[in-house]
Amino acid sequence: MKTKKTVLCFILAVALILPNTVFAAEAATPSTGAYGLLEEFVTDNPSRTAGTAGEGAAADWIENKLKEFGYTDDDISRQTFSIENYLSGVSGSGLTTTSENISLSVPSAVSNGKVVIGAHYDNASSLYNGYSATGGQGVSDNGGGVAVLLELARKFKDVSLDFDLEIVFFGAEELGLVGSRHYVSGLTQSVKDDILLMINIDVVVNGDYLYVWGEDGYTPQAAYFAEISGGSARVLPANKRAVYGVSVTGSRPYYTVAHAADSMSFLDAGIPVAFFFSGNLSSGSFGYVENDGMDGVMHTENDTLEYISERYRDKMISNTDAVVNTIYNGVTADGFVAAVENARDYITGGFWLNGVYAMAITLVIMAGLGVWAYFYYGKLKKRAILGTADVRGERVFTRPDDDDIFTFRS
Amino acid sequence: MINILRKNYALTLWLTRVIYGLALLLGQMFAIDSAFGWLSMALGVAVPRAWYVYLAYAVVMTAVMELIIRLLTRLIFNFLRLVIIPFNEFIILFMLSGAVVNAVSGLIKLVYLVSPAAMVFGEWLITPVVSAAVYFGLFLLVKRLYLNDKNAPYVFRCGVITFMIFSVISLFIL
Repeated sequence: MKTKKTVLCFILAVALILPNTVFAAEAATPSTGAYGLLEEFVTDNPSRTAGTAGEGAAADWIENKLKEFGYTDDDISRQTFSIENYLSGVSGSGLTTTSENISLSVPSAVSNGKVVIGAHYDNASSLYNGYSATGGQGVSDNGGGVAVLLELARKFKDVSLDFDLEIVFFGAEELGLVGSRHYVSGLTQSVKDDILLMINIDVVVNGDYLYVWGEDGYTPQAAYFAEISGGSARVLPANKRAVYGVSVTGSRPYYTVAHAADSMSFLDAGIPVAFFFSGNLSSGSFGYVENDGMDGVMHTENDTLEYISERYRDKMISNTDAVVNTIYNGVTADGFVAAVENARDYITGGFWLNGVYAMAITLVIMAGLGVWAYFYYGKLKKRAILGTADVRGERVFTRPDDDDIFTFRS
Repeated sequence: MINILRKNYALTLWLTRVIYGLALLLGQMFAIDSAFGWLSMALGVAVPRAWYVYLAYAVVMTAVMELIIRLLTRLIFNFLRLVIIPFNEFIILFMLSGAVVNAVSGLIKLVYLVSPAAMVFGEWLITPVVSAAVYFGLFLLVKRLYLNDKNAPYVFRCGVITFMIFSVISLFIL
């Protein structure tokens, strides 16, 4: 009897413990790919506001992760720049006046130019952006971009390319594209000319659709990546939600959602870009939204792993994987260089973006109309004097005095 | 046309308001998107792109514009002593002209959908050029209806000066 009880207790204990053990083993299974890196990155670096210790720690974390992938100090460089001018009126404990870009070089044996792939690693803050971002982890903006870059770095290790590759993690984007502006300002003209394409990744994890943008019109690089993606990424719809007003980058007198990203620093320098972002530009709301349900998390306190993964975990995985695969397959394909080598021709020229020229032309037209009105007025005055006589000829008067015509003046 | 207007002024005025409101929606399609887009960003709330938002915009803006047009026209008519032009009828003709400006400008601005960069030149050029053409047409109509050869030059001069002043102001406000 005692033996039976002991056996039953043993079976019962095993029955109770075993499933938990199995579940625990399942729960402990780490996520892989870009999504796994995203979880790891934002969990270890939940606050990365530009100019804070958190941003510096995130930079260290990224460098260490790249070294884990097998890259060395020779491959990685860090570029420090001042953000002092952007912090006027901002006070917070532990704020510094510098930020950093982290750059990974993957040189090639046969160089046909250079490709830069970038994403910013800082997050929005209520400190200076006026956002309600306090408490957020910057998962959507832009932990996803960092995770994609890291996964690409892992995939490009030991891959032989036909061009030099540089992967850059930009700092202080949320302050006004400061890191990418600094990076571009440090390039010589010959290096700028040498860059085939800059690929930017920002806010890719939870939007309804993935978009790839190259300029406010057709570009071969956007079409190329959209095709490579097999439908995962799309070019912007015809209605691109262009709105009036100065672009956040200050370089265009109108604004589209694609302007608010590091790719603009490159585009303004005449470097072609392919910008991957997610959202829903076909939604039933004004302006840019992340999804049709209008559950915007970007720049809010809801931009956390817990909030987004509860609602959009599958989307996070599929989006990040799609961006990684599209970029990797795109740049390693044989036709890549041929597809993007003429991309510069599609950049909108400075003349067409310069409102001063438009204003000058308008004033000239107005002056022309004024001159025409002056002569037409003369014609009316002649008619006033001659009645219905033919005034086209110059037979009677050439220029009647004002006193000759009727007015209401006393 | 003017006889129909004179037969039932109230009905014509309401029809004019409706036409003006509809044309306003077309002419200011991008301005409406901009205003509500920025509002969405500023408030952190996605304003639904719904018919009632457009309707509300059209009603409010038509009312505001009519008020401004009536006030300015009264002011200008008094200042320039343009007593020969009937004020109420002119208001309808002016609002219809404004509707034509908005409708034509709006149709041309559809090119922004293909290339937003066209907005830079478009915003400077389209409205002044279309306005000049339409308001010249308004002058010809007013001349035919109310003026004679003697007073037409003075009205034309007043119209051109007023148009130039408002155009330059609007250019610099832009």
